[in-house]
Amino acid sequence: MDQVQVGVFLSDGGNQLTKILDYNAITEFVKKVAGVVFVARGSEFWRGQGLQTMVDAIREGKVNRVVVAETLPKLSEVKIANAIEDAGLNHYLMEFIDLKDHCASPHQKTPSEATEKAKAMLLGAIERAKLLEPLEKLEFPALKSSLVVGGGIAGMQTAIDLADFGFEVSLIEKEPFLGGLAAQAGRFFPTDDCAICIQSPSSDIKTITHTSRKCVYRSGFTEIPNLNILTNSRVVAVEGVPGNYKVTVEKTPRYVDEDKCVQCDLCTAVCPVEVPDEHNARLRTRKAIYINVPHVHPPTYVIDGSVCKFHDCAKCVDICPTKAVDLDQRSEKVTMSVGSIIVATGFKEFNSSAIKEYHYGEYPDVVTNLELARMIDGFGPTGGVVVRPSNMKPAKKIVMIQCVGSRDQRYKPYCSSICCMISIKHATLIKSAYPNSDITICYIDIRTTGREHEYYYEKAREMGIKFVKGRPTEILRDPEKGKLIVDVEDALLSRFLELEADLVVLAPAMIPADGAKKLAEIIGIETEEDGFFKEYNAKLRPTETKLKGVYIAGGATFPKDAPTTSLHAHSAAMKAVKFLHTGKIVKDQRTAVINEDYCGDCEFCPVTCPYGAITLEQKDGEHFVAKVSDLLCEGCGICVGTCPQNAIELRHCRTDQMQAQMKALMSINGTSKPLVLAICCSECGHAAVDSSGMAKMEYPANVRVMKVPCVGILQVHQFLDAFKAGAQGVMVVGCKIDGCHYEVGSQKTEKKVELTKILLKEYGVEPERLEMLNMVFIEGDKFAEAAQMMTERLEKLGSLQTFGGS
Amino acid sequence: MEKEKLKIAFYWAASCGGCEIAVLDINEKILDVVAAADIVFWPVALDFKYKDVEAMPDKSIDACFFNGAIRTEENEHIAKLLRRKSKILVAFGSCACDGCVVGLANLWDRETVFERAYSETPSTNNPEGTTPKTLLEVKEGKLKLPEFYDTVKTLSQTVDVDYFISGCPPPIPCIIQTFQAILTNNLPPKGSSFLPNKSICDECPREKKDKQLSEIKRIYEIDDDFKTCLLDQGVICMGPATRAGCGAQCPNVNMPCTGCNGPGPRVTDQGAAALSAIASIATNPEVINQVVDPIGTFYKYSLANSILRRKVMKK
Repeated sequence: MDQVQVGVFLSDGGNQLTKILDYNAITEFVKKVAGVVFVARGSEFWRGQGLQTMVDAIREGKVNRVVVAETLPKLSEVKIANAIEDAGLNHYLMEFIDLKDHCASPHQKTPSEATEKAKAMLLGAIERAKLLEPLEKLEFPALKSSLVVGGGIAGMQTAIDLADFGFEVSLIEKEPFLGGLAAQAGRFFPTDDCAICIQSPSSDIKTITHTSRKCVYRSGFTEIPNLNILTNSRVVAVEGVPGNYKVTVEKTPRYVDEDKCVQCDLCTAVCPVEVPDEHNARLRTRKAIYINVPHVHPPTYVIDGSVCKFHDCAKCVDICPTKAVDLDQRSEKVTMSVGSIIVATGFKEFNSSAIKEYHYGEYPDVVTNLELARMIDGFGPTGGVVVRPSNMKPAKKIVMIQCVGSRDQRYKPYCSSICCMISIKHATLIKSAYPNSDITICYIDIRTTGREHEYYYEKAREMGIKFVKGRPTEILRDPEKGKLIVDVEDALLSRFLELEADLVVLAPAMIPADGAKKLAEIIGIETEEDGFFKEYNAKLRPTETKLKGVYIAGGATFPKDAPTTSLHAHSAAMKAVKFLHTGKIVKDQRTAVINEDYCGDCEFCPVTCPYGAITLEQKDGEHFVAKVSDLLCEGCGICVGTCPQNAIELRHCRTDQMQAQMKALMSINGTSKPLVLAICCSECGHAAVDSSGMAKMEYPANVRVMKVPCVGILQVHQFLDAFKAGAQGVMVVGCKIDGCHYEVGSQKTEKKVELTKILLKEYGVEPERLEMLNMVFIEGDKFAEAAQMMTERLEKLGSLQTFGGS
Repeated sequence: MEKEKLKIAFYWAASCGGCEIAVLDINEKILDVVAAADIVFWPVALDFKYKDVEAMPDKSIDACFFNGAIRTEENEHIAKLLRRKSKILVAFGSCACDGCVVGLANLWDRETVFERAYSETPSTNNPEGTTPKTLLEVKEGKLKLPEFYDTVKTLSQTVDVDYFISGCPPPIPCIIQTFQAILTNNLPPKGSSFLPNKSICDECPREKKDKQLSEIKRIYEIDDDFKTCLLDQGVICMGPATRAGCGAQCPNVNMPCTGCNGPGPRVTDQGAAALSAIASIATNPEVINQVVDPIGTFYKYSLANSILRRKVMKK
C-alpha cells in the first residue's frame, strides 16, 4: 500500500468551540504528529466549502486517510462518508470524532483540560486511521422466490402478497386442506364476517372480478400462476444460505388425484371406515376418504392413510367415476430453492384435559371454544345448532370459562390475548340466534384492547349475557339430571355461586402449533420459552428472525386476532420483498475473518456467534478450522472476544487499531485527575456518551472514550492492556443486557468484566477500577455520573503505578 | 575435510530439572545429536565451570538451550554470559519461555517468599530466623550469595532470545524437531517457536459438543465418558488457550490441560485469553463465582510472561 498520508480536518463549528478549546494549540499539535500531511481548520466540513476542501485534498492525492473532528455528529458523518467515497477514497479510511459532545460540552468549565483531551482524542483517531484498511462491497445472488410454511390466513395472505410482487411462491400446509385455524373458526370478531374471507390477489386472474376481499374459494388466489400450493406437506430439511435456501418438503400421499376428482361424493358413500371427524370437534364422524367442507382448497377428497384398509377394500377405487383414486401413491420428497422462508404455522388450543377440575375429555358436555365454533358454523356437525354432545339436544344454559390454562402459573403464565373476544363473539352469536339462551362468562379480566372490541363487549352485556368475575374452582356433574354445576366465587359481589349449565365452554390458552419447535430447529431459528417463534425485535422487526431471509407471520410468534395476523402477514411479505427484490444481497465487508493458520478448532466461536455465521471446515482431510460466512456475519466481533487463540479479527475494528487508539488516548493526560478509559459500543453505549454531551452534562476531562462495534469484541486482555497503557480506571459501556444490538455482546462481556475483577483482586489491584455499565441513549446523565464517580473513586484509591511492572 | 562439529550448551536456571530429563527423553535420537555436535557446557551432566564458559570466545557456542526462569542474580548473570557466547539462544521449556510454576512466586515478593520458606512452613526449624543474605561478613572474610530478586523474569525479559520451545517439559517431537532444525541449519525466522501454531484442541481426540458451561466441576466430580471434550463436561481445560505440540497428552489420559505449552502465537496473555473464552460460554453468572483461583488455574505457567507479570504489592 502507498504510504499513509493522514489529512486532519478540524471543525470549530463556526467558532462556537473556540471559547472552550484552544484550536491554535490543537492545530499545532496535530501538525507535528507523524503521518499527518495535511491539516485544515474550518467552521464545518460536512458541507459547502469545508467539504470541498476535503474532497480536493483526496482528489489531488494529498491524503489517503481522513480524520474528521466535526461538531455536528452522526448525520455529518454519513454525508462526509458519501463525499469521500465519491472523491475516490474508500469511506472506511475515515476516522470521525466529535469534539463538541465528547469534549467541549462536557468539559466547558475546564477549558485547558478539555484542550489536552482534544489532543488525545485526535492522536487516538490519527493513530487508528493510520492502520485502517479499505473494505469492499460484497454481493451475493438472491432468488426472487419464497417458501411460505402454513396455509392459514397468515400464510395465504403472505403468499398472495409475494406472488403479486412476481415472486415464485410455494405455500405448504401440513393438513390436507388450506385454511388453518380460521377455517374452523367460522366467523371473526368484531365484524362477525366469514373467517374464510381474504384479500384477493391483484394478479391478472381471468374471470374473477376484483373487489377488496373475497371468500378464499373464489378469490382466485389458487390460480395465481407463480403460486404453487402443496398440501399434506412438511418441511424436513433446510440447507443453504439467505437468498438461496434449499428446502426439502415431504409430501404425504393424498391417494386422490387433484386433476381428476370431481367432488361427486360417491366414494364416501361406499367407504366402510368411519372415524371421529377432528375438523368438526369429533361431534360427528367422517369416512377414511373425505373432504372437510365443500369450499376448501384443494377441492379434492383425501384418504386418511392411518385408517384406510387400502387394497383390502378398494371400494372407492371401483366406484370413482373419474378413476381419481390411486391407492399406490407414495410419499415423495420435493426439493426447492428459495430466497426466503416465511413461517406462518400459527397456534392451537392448549389441551384442557390437563386441568383435572374441569373434567374436559371426561364430561362430554365440557367443550372448548373451537369445538363450540364448529357447532355455531352452519357447515359444522350440528348445522349451526349448539347442542349438548352427551345427548345432542340443544344447550340452553351455557357457562363459559376464560383463561383455561392461560394466566395460570401451573400451565401457561401468559394471556393468550384473543380468548375474551372469541368467547364474547360466541356468546353474542348464540344469543342472537337463540334469545332465550342463558349465557354466563366467568372471567378474570375482560381484555378488549382492539378497536371496536369494547363496543362488542358492551353489546354483549346489553344483550343480557352475564359476566361473573371469578375463576371457577371446579365443574361438577349432577349424576341424576346430567346437568353440570360450575362452582365459582363472584369476586365483585363476594358471593359463592353454583351455576347450572347444559354446556360448559372452556377458553383454553393458545399454544404454538404442533411441530413448531422442530421446524425452528430445521430452519435454524429460535423459539421463546413459551414455544412461540422468537422475533428479531418485538418493536422494530416484529416479523423478522435473527436469520436473514427467514420471516415469521401471524400467530406463529404469539396468538393474534385476524386483523393483526393480516397486518403481520403483509409486513413479513414486505420484508421478504425488500430483502430479495433486486436479485442480489449487497453488504459491506464489515465481517470477521479467521486466520486458519492459528485456528485451533476449539469450537468456541461457532457457539458464541449469535448469527450462526461460523461453521467448521475440514482441512487436509483431518483438521477442522472455523470459517465465517461473510453473508451471515453481522460484524459484531463477539467471536473475536471469544477466541482464545486471537485467530479472529474484525476487518473494520482490528486489534492493532484498538491498541493504537487506546495507547494514544492514554498517552496525554493534561488533567490533575487519574486517566479513565471508557470503552463504548457504537450503539447505545456511544449514544449515551453523545447524549450526555448534547445535554451539556459535565464530567471530568480525564475520561476518554473509545468506540468498538459491540462490547462483545472485548477480551480480558484489553482491560489489562488499558491499565498497562496508563488507565487508572476502565469503564465498559454497552447496551442493556437484554437490549444488546448483537443479542449477547453485553451479556458475554459482563461476565468477562466480572471474571477480570476476580483476577484483578488476586493481582492486588482494586477491582472497582473496572466497571461495566449498560445504558441507552437517553441515559447520558448516568454516564456523566458514572464518569464522575469513577474519577472520585480512583482519586481515593490512589495511583496504580506498579501495574505490569517488575 | 570432515565438517567441524557444532558446539552446543545446556543450562538450567530457576527450574525443576524436568527439562534436563526431557533432553534424554528423545532416546536414541540423542546419538544423532552427539554425532553432530559437541556439548561444551551442561552443568547437570558434565563437569564444566562458569569460568570455562567465560573463557570461550563470544559467539563460539552454536546453540544454547536455556531452561529455567530468571530468579536470582546468578541466573541473570549466566543468561547474559551465555547470550554473549552463543550464536543461537533457545528458551527451552515453560520456565524460560513463560516463567512457569516458578513464576507464580510473582504473587509475592522476596520478603514474603523468604518469610514463607524460612520461617512459616511446618517443616522449617529456624529459631534464629536466618534468611539468605547477599553479603555476609564472617571472620574469614566476605561471603557473597547471588541476589534473590523480588520478581521472577522470563529469559526473553532478560536477554535477547532467538527461539522458543515451551512446555513443561517441551513435547518430545518438538525437541527432536528443534535439534534437527539446528543441526541441519534449517532455521525458522528469529523469534519463532518450535511448537505448532494451533491449540491443544486441534490435537485433542475428544469430541466437542455445544459448549454451554453451566457449572464448573472438578475432575473427580464428573463421570467422564473418555470421549467428550472436558469443557463440555464442565471441567476447566486450558486446551483452547494453549499452544499445541504435545498431542493433547493430558486430555488423552483423562486430565484437563493446565496450559504448560503457553499461549498461542498471537496471544500475549494466556490467562486472559482463557478467561475470555470461558466467560463467553458461561450460561449463567454463578459460573463466574465458581472460579476460585484464577491465577493458579489460568496463569499457572504464564504469570511472569503475562500483561500483569506480578502481583501489585502494597507496602
